[in-house]
Amino acid sequence: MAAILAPALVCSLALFPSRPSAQLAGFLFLFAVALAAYLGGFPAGLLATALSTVGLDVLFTPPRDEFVPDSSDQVAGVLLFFVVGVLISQLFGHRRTVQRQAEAATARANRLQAVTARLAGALTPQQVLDAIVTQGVEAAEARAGAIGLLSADGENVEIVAARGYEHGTLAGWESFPLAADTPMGAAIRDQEPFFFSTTAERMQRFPALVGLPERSHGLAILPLVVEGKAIGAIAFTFNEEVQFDPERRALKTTLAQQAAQALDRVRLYQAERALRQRMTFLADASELLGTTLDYETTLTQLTRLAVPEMATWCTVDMVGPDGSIRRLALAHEDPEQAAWAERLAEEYPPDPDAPMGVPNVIRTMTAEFVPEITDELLVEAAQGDERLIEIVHELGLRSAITVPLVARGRSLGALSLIRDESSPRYTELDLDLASELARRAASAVDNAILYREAERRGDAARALAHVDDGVVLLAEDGNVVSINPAAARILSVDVSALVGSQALEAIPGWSAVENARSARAPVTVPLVVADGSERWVSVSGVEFADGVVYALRDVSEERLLERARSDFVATASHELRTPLAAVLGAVKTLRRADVNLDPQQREALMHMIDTEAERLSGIVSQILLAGQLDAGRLVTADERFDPVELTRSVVGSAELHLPNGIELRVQADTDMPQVAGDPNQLRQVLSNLLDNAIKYSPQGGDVELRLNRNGQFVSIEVVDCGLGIPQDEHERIFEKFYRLDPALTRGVNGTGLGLYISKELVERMRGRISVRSEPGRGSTFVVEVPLAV
Amino acid sequence: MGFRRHPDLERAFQACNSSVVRPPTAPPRIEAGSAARRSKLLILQAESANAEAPGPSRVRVLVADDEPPIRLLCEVNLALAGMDVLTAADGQEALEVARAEIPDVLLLDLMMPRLDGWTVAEELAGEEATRAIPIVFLTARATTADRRRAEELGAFGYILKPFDPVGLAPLVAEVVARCGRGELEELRRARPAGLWPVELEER
Repeated sequence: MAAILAPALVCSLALFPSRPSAQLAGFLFLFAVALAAYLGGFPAGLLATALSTVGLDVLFTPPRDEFVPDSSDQVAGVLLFFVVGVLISQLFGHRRTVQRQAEAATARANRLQAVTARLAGALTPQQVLDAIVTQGVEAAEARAGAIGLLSADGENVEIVAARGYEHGTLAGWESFPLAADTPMGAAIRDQEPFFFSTTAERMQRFPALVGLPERSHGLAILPLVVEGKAIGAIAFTFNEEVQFDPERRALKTTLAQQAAQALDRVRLYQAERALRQRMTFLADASELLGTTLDYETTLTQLTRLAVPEMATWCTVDMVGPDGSIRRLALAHEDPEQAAWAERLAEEYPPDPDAPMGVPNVIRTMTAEFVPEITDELLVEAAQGDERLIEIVHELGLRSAITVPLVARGRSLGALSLIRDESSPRYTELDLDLASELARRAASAVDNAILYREAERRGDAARALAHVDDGVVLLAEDGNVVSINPAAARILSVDVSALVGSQALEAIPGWSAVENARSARAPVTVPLVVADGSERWVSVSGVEFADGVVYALRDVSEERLLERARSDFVATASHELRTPLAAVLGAVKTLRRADVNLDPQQREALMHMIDTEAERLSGIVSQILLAGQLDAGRLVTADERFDPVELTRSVVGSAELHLPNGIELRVQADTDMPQVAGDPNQLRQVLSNLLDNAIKYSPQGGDVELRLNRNGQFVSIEVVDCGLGIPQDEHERIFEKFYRLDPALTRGVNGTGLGLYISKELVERMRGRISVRSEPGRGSTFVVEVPLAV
Repeated sequence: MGFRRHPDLERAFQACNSSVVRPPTAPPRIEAGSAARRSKLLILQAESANAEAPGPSRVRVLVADDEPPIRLLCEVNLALAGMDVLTAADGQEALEVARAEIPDVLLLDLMMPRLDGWTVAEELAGEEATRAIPIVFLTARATTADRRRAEELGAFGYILKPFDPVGLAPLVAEVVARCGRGELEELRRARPAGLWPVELEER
């Protein structure tokens, strides 16, 4: 336009009456050419030059209004003008092009800058993608755009953002395999851009995409490369067929680079933020775990901490001592859901043998990570329970992590994190976090358990230190875990040297204990303990998870008593049998119908019945007396009496049935004081002592009774020259049922109650009884009776 | 513990000591005829009675017991059955009399002064001359352990006090008769009820 208008304007000057000269017109034309070239470029300048040349020649060069120049000078002038015009056109036309290019470059730069600015403000992947596509589409002068990123496993391309496409265009393309023959896939794989000017061109290269009902248009696909690695691709779709000149290609490439970097930066930022969030969570959780030893509360709080940042649901299940699985805590964003889930858990108690889920994790101590909960997985987990499948479907579970709580090789429980469809899927990082959290939680729980155990043990140990029963705890391998003081006393061992050593090696006599354990009820066994003595110990052993606990009771005393009692029964039985045999035998003989006994025999038998029945009666009374003494029912009189008179009376009675070779003597001062007590009981005591003196003098000899005043007492000594009593028996002979000669082989009969009864009676009179004796040199029993006041 | 005994009885006991008591009257009546076959004991009694004749063919029984009443009961009843009765008041004496007299049967108490019955039995079993004397313990020791010990010592009987002295003679006669027929081992093994107690105290 300028090429025609500018020369025409100059030509119009010819209409004026005073036409400018050819020189002036020539200059004006050249100016017009320059203008045209400047505005319209070189072609416009050339057109203007041609027009100007004709105008100059016809209108201003004489002869005017004629094309044919008058002279060769004029021809030369017109030609010169033309040449100059062409030169000016070229000059101004080029200038214009340069300027235009500069302006375009500035515009592009501005647009790129705008993209960069928006990218800088983007914090989430979504914002970045929006920024790139919105601004990027404008920058690329494209109609629509999309960004596809490689999935974490590098297998798929996922369209994470798109802009400008008509609804439904991308349906079915949200995610597709990298290996598929698609422009994006190829661009990522080869890190090479594709530029297709027409749809036909694209179809030729990617026959798989033939048939999309669209107008032919240009398409640019560029890989997103960060540090030499393709992370995805960006696609630009144009409205019409496009020629991609190098400049355009370069622009697209730059845009793709910026996008890649921005995506990478956001990814890093996201990762860093997620990491920080995780670290914060972990730190909070750790702090929480460290606050108290009440791990039930702690774990419950922990599940609340995990929701909603880390999980939609968070549960902790613990293994009970019996191996059962118990839900300790459950947290959910929505309390109603939580309550419902608890009911669900009650309805579906965990099967310890379940092939997956919490029981499996607890059993195998291995984490379960399900990044994507698929329908197939749900059906499998529900094991055919239609209602459960429906319920789980409604929950909209998306992703789950279950990690075991393991401490010191023991499975304590499991921590589960579950996200529903409103949250992103779990990644390996989440699994790591959950594992770390589980490790810390398990450690805290274990510490709490250990502490409780230690406290309980402490209590138990304090209690055990004070019981009389011995308690020994052995580990499964037979090592001593603990032993209480009573056990050490019974076994006559040193506690400190024992713990940790093998019981069989460290405790003499332990094998007997172990052998006794097999029986269900406590078993009493003789043990030769460390100091060489024999003890009777009642042993019971109970196995438990970590070993065997033995309870030991020293029953040596009981056994001695029991043996004495048993001896007494035998003795009493024997003592009763002999006179009974006499009485019964005599009666049976007297009643014989087949023979006639002579009167002398009859009389002897009658006397036998008399004396032996009396003997029986005496034994029975003695047993009764002992029983009365035991029960404290015997009444002791407190009378004044003459001890000498009483002694002589006892001796007088004894002399009536004195065996051969025994002589009795009484030796007393003349003026003995009176004593206080029960004269009948003292008579019984002296009678007992005298009988003993006679019994234990089988070879005969003198038995002397000596009375002396001894301070506030009168002492009555019964002295024999018989068998005597060993020193170590001096105390025990006064014990109930004790007999000097338990084998009953020396023909000395007795119930083993005589001295016991004597001692009891004397002491009831506030007196004393003692013995001096040596084997083979006789015995002296001393009874001291208090003086009467 | 000692208990008073009537001095007369005491003298009667002493009169019995270490002496042979002859039956004071005529030999006891023997049930004859078919009744004799009714019980083994009666048959044995009859044999014993048949063997009754003057001289060494009479059954000679040594009763060793430190309790005079027991000695007296045995003496009276065995003599009534036509047996010669020797007595000993303690183990030592029993050993001496047994060695000197070689009785047909020894009725032996276990708990006696000086030597107990066990030792007496062991001593006798250890000597060629006395080994064959059949020993029947007569004791108040009523435990299974004692009975077992008696069995081990090869005793022919273990009569527990109190016992029926009237039935003593037939038991002694049975032992003598079977020993006479050489049935020592059979008798030891058979352990007839009269010679061995049924129930004992377990300890």
